[in-house]
Amino acid sequence: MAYSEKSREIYQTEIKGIKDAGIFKEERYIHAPQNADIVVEFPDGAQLKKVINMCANNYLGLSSHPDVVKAAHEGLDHRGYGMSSVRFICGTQDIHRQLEGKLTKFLGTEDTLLFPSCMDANAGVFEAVLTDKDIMIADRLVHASIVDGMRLCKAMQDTYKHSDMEHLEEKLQEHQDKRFRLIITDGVFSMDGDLAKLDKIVELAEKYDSMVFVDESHASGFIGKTGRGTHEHCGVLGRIDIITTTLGKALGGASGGCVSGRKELVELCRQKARPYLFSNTVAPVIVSGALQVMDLISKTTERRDKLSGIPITGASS
Amino acid sequence: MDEMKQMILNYVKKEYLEEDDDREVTETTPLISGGIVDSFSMVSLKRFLERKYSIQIPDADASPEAFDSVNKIVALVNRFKKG
Repeated sequence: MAYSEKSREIYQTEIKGIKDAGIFKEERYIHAPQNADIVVEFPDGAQLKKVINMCANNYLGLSSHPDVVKAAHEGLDHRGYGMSSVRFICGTQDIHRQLEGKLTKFLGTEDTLLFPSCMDANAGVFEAVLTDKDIMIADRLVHASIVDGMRLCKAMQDTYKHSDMEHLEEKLQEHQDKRFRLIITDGVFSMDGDLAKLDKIVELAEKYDSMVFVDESHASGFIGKTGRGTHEHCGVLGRIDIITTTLGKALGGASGGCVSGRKELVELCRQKARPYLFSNTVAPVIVSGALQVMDLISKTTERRDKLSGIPITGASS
Repeated sequence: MDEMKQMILNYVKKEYLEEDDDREVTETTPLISGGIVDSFSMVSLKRFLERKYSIQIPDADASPEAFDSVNKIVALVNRFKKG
């Protein structure tokens, strides 16, 4: 179909609607590495301004850390720029498995699989491990990528009021006839910054024979005593069945995500998750930087400890 | 108010309002466009109706518009009960 004037008018009207609603998004061009102090061009073509950046998810300040940048340079030199293949054909290097091993150890799980992003991990994981015999029971404030992933999955969906454990228990009781029950939550909720009651959730999961899924994108690297995440903070390390997280925030901030958890579930993602199967994985240069990030945060909790002095909304400690 | 309206209204209040939420919800209150029910959590309402009234509401008919008030939901249920 030709892109007619009528088509243009329809799209222009939709864009105007977004502007009129006050939700039109504009990019600010940063003329510097990501940092607390940056140089910004905004709006397009305006004079550059030095500003203090309060809105990045660069929680540990590792996005432009010299050791990470150096490791990325070395990765580029030794493993090249791109893979030109999906993982299972000829797109996996030794360093991809090394990074998956380090993430597994750090998150306290059984195995890990990298995805191009955590959005992709969430888009692919539910469909890979659940069928129409199962039920997904999600907190109503989970991240949009989880909502999208759930919509791609044939399992039945249900939701519970945000962090309402009584409501979750009612839902678990209601769905006892299903083959698998999967409780789905963010670890740290991205919009409000509050933490999931993972200790209570795990308790209910064990009582009602349910699995637990947690998106740790806003937790990995700095929540919990050694930064392993909300499951460490709540004392349930090793008792979460599926964790997804991102390399795009505290863990270097470049890109990439993963599914980590029970080895059979991770293996099913390797066999069936469509964003893994039909997309190149994280580029070698980013994997090399992320390996350095994992070393830095495993060696010392200094950066995480500095953050712990800053109040987190809703956190119990 | 008839029994079905009252039943659906009670379900909406219990399922979607927090305990400290004192918003008044009546049979004409906009549920979805009014921000009480979102499309993500609408699924449990659909399942409640299907179980309670032994009907099947096709996904194509379970639109946000059709679920936007208790009165509209009652009309939807009656359509499938009769059909």
